[in-house]
Amino acid sequence: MSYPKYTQEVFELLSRGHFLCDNSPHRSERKLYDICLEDLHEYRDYFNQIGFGLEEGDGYFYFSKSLNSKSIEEKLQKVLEYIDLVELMLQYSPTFGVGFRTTVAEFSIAVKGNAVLKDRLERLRSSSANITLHQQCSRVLDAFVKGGFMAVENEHEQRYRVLTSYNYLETFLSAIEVPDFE
Amino acid sequence: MIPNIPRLLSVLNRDKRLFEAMFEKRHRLVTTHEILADIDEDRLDFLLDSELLVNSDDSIELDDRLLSFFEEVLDASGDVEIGDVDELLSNMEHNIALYSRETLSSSKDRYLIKIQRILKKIPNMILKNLNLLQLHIGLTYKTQKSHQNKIIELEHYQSKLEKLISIEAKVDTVLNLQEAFFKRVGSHETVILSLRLKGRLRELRVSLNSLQQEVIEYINKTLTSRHFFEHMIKLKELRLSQEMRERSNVMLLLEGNQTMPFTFDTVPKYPLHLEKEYVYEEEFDEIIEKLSIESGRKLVQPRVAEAVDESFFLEEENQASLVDIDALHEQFMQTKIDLFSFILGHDFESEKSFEAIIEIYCQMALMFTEFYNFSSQYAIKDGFEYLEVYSQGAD
Repeated sequence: MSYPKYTQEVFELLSRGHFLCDNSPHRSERKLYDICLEDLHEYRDYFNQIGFGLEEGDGYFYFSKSLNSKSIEEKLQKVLEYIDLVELMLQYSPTFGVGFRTTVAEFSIAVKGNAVLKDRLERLRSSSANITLHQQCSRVLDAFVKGGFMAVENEHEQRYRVLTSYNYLETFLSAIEVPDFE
Repeated sequence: MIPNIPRLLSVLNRDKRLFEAMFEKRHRLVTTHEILADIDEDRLDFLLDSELLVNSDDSIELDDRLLSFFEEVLDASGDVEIGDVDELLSNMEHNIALYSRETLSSSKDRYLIKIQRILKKIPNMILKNLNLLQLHIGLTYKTQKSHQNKIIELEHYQSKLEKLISIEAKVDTVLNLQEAFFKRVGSHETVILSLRLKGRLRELRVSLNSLQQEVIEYINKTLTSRHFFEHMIKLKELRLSQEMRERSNVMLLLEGNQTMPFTFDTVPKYPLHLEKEYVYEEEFDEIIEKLSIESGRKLVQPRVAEAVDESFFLEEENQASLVDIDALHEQFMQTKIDLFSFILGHDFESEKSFEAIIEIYCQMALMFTEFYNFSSQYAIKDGFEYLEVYSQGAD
């Protein structure tokens, strides 16, 4: 059976829960994104046969699989976690969105000088372990990286970039209907 | 007041460093004290009297005319001055009217030169304003942090852009209205300039329209992101009041969504694909140890058998004799008898059972098929029927 040329690379990336983004700091990933976009039908057909859905969004691809291994309740917890994280980042900078860049140092300086941000960050802390503000800020950004919505652009400067996959998060969170508060 | 150009140029030249510095610092206040570090008080008084510098409170700045001159010549003004184009246009119309009424040829030429200058200047000014608007719009969108101010600024530039578009249309209309003049005018250069202006306008129109699209898109995006920000604040409130499940549709969204990324679900587990050859590398153990420390897992202790009793090594070695099939084949190739009889008659190091003989026979027949002739004759030995096989050299 013939299959698209970079199937292995695409599979290895997406099957680990990553997104393939067109603004990834890694050139190889941007190239894979372009290739996927070009031969979308071939890739989609191929991955369908092995039980993965190749989902396309605004500037990103990801795999879906009807696993349903986590309960709705667990998924909800994940959504709530992202609400906290996204809201915190928007408080930090209203321009937070696709393409946004920041370093851990910039983030922690902003938190230091802003009581609201500091309080938000404090509440996010999962453990009582004594960690520095810098480490706390780093954990927030790393949580986005783990979810596939950010990538480390420069290790040395600890600079992060918001990926196009963030569009997914934004779309999902926007779809949650909130009643108007009186 | 400076009486003439040579004098003006000489004054500017003498204090060129000062003027250069003043131009660079034009966007901030420069104190008298700061100026006196470069020139003495008498010289400062002279420049103030000459109206090249002006004094306001305790700060000194370049005279407005000089500043505009520098900015215009150096193309360094950051302001969007759309009204200037409008003014140029009405000047041109005015000069065309004067030209048409004038009968004296030398005066006509003077008006023509002015018209030509304006024709050259208009597209440059539109282009300059377009560039500036593009720069300001992009910068505002990318750097203005407050949504509110971003929208106000973008809308301000949008209105400027609309004015510029209407000016561009006005230029086009004026050129069309004055078509009779351009047809009538004897100056070839003026006609060329007017035609060139029309061409430039067409190009500019495309850029203006695309910038307009861009600014609208920016405004929409800013509005959307402002809405998203407000939406997130509401979500956060709902989350803090623990009412997310009850008062929003999030459960419905989660239940109905079969295509969520793994980050909301579980990343499927796959067996670890290590390069098999890698296991034999020297540093393999080291890497496994490192990985186990990083992941916080304990190394799996391999199950080790009990120590072997020393007496085991004292026992006589159990030797198994192997048959060198190749050597046997070589020997058989020299004979003319059939394979089975050859093996049967061969003097092996150790005694072979009948089954072992049959095994060797089968092995050789299979391994060296191309060297043997398989006859159609069968022979029987101890009730065992076998095919007679000869070496090809036996023929």
